[in-house]
Amino acid sequence: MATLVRRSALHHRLLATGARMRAAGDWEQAASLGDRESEARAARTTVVLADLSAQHLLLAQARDLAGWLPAAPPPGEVALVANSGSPVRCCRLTADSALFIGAAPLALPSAPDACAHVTELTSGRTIVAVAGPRSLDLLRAATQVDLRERVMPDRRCVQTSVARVPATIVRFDRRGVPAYEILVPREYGEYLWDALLDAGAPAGVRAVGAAALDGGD
Amino acid sequence: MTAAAFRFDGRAIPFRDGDTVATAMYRAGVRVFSRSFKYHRPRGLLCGTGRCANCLVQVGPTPNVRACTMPAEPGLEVRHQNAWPSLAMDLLAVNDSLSFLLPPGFYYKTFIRPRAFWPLYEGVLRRAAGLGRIDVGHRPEERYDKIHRHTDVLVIGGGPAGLAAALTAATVGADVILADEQDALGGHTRWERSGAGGLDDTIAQVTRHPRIECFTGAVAFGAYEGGLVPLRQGTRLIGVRCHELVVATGRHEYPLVFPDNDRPGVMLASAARRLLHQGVRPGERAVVVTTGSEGYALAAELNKAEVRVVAVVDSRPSGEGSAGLAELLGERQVRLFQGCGMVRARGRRQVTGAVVAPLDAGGRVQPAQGLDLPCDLIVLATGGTPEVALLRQSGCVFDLDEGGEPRLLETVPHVHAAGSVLGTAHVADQLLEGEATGIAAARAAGIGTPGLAERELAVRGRLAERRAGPCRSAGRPVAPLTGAAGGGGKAILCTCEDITADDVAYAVAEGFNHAELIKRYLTVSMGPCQGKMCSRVAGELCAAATARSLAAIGTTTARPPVQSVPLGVLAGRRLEPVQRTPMHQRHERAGAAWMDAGAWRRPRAYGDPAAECRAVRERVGIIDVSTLGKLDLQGRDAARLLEKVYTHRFASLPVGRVRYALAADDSGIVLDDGTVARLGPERFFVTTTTSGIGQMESWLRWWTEGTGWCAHLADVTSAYAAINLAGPRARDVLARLAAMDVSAAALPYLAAAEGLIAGIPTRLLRIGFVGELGFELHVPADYGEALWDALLEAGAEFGICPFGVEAQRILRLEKGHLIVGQDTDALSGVLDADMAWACKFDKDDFVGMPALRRVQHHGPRQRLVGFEVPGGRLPNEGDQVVDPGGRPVGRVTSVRRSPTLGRVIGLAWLPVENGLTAEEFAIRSGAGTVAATVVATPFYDPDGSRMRS
Repeated sequence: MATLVRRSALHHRLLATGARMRAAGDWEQAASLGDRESEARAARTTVVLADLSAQHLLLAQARDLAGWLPAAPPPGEVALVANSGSPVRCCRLTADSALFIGAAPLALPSAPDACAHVTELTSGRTIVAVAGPRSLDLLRAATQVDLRERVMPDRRCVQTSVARVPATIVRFDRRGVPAYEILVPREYGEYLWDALLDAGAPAGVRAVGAAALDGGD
Repeated sequence: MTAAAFRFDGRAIPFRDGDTVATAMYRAGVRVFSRSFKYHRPRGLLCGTGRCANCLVQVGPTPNVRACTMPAEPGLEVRHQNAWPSLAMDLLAVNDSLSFLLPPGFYYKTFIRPRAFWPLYEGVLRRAAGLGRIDVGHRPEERYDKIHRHTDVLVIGGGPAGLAAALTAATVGADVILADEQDALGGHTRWERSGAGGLDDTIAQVTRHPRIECFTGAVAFGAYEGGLVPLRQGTRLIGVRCHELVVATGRHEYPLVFPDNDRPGVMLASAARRLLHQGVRPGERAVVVTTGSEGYALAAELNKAEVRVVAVVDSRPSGEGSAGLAELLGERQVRLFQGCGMVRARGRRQVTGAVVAPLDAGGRVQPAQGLDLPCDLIVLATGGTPEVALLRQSGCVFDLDEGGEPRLLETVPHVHAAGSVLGTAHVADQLLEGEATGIAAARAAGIGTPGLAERELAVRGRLAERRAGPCRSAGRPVAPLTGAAGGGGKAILCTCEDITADDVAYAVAEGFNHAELIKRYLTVSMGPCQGKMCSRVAGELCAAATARSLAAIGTTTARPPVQSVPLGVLAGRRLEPVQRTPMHQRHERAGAAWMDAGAWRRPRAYGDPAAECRAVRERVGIIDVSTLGKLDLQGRDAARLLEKVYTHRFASLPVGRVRYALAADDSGIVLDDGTVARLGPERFFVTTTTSGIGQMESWLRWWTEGTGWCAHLADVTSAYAAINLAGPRARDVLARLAAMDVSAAALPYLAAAEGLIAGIPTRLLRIGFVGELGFELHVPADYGEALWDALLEAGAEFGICPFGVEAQRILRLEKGHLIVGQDTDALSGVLDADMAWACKFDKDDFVGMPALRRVQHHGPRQRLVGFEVPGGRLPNEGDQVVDPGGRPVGRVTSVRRSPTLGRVIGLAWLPVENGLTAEEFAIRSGAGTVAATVVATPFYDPDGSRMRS
């Protein structure tokens, strides 16, 4: 039997645009869609889209979330927390729920006596990164939520809708460049991708591989 | 210099930088742009600001474009509107002569008899009515876009007050958006002789300020709840949500009413100034009509542009500004008529003269003393009215002062006003008022810079000092002039709809004596200008005709849009969310015919649905059921929650078992159905219908929150791909792939298990919606394609076949399984649907139990029954069940020709009478009726042996 790989909802869309795939854990991920250097430059200078669905997601819910997970930030904020040696992002969605996003499988401390529960959502979301100095030009054509620097600085998250699809926006800047990860139910992946490309057309948006967000490494 | 040209009715019109279509046409000598709505009178430039509808033209495929605000561009194809066969020779201009046949409301009165003729009337009226023509086959090439902004302070109006407010608010720390409908900042000062030069520094500071975002050419067309103010900028809509709104929209002019006041060549001062600004002489010989000093300044500007000013007609007996007239006009001989007004304009396709006469003590013109003044231009510098529409839409309350000026009585939180919209007349005052308002808005937005309150107080103090004398604009000091009795021509009140002053008198005589009544009867203010040109004069005329005050006549309600907005702008980019299952590409490759299920795209069939049905009944098939709603329910009270919300019993459900789940509302109406599998003592996997997931998640969450039970819910619909493997050979296929025992003993009917299928972690539910041995396989969505491929490969030797939704619907109907939402609606009770078997009345409680007990006691009033059509004719879903008298008494919810049974079967709601439903009934289908017979369900495999095998 062939080796099983996980494929995001955007797999076929990216392949059709000439993506070169690479292994990322048990995922197959688009490393680049063309020239890596120019993709990285675009990420630093304009605005780019990248498929970051190859990440692990856990939804944690508890009546006393702060008591269970003291490292969780206040609602609406994002913090890096330890996870088996590699830090993961903890996005506090509400007072009693948080979403953990990490490159490796996630594990949370058990709380047998507390009313605290974890749901695996890794396969349930398409994650599209919008990154670059002109990110807001694109996002302001796709969502009505207030993303001004004062309201939504780095390491903040908000639950809203993007292109009329329920979404969570997580701001997590990369190398000093504004970057927003948009999480939508997996089945909206291709629609969201197309809608964001269209919304970002006036700003010169470009689809890139995931590596472009890390400087093309 | 001349750089390019567009075409107007086929004629090349050269234009210069900064020209609009109107200024270029005027420069080229074109005076008539289109014809009017009702009387087909020649129409040209009137306001020059985009407020009236006098200069509407067709540009390419787009009708009703205002020539005065449409930038001239090379290659534009501009055409006149509302004239046939040509602009010069318009046959429907006969309406102007036959206007005595077309009084107000004529269409209500004239065309009601004979009744049979109405279709004929309607056809003619529809062809004759309307403005412009829409090409329904046209697909716009423009990109209609929609963007969003949030800001602390939104300032509408880029004149002195708006500029000062924006700059001040930004300087003290607020984020500011400044919007102006013109293509550059400066407001009214751009067009006045003094120019915007005095504001150059302010404009430069505003445009450079990092906290200010400017949108020019952007019309704020409404003020909505939550601080939402939409701006239309070309083909783009900018939805601005602001904390504070500053309205600095200034004033707009409106015309005097006198006979033939709509002739091309009669224009407002604003239009004349815009033409002068573009280096276009508005005419050769001008008569300037004024009610204040403004007319003298304008006369000087015209004179400077080599326009011969024949006369200045001032309604005041003696007035400010006249003393400097001789100096302004140099050695030219200009006749000054003080205490005079317009009797009428002369000319037909263009003004050829003005008739002026003295006014009597009541401000009425005396036609008998009229004097003819040959001219080709009549400029009306007769004042205007404040642009208060946005303020009124925001909730601010106005009344009318004795001069008919709107007076702000009451403002609302988060809304501010500044400048001439409040009657502040002088630029210096407007700047001060803007500054104070900018501070106030910033403070209200929460900007806490120290000393702001004191600064605002100080600025307002300086403003009060400057206002030691009268500070409000004088408005129009005399009543509008009708002159119709002696004039003869039509005194047009509303240029959009060709309403005349006589029409108002007619309406008043018929009892329509309030602004709202006149609006509805005459349609005055309902045209493209939305009352900007006519509302106030209509009120004044009505007041005069009824000898009442303007306040008694009232005003109409201000509603968005303030300016007309293309539907494309409101629609924006095409955004139609589409949900695709993890196996979408596989279905695409297999040639699936698609159907929509909400936003989901589902394969309806891959070929012949009947063949797909036979494959499932005889061999094995697979269907993508990833669209099913799925919930992860955990917690020590999870079972308690399920007991409460669902009618069945779940506390006793063993781990590793799955059970049908039916939810009802408090009235016992079917809400949704699905299954509940117990994965652990405190963990359940709940499935819902495709469309019911949102409702059920909310319903379960509501009960969790309300009871305080320890239960957590997560929607995992997207996280799992789901495939239903069904058919007598289903177990054989599964055995090829499973790393677990899938025998009937190990995995009996209604078992739930987890294990590896094709190496993929899978949740298996032994259930069957289509009535065969079946397995519902749920895997992480990322592996959906892999599982689909593996099943097809392993099933090849058993003749496996993918089947679509149509085959599934046939198969489940054969089995008698209902579909919530198709076979039920908001009136379908659980017991009416014959679902008593799914209700456990011996439980302590479940939602809907009391209502269902009452139904048990009284009996249902309707019942969902299975039926067959002996004749074999196939009725339609939704057809009515009718009684012998032909009255509808029920409906068909599902009906198909069964490939398995070879007959037409279906489900229908029938009335219950005396505890019984009819055994035979009639279905009205198309033009006839179909006889149907009630039969027991399931139609297929009634003992369920195949499903349980």
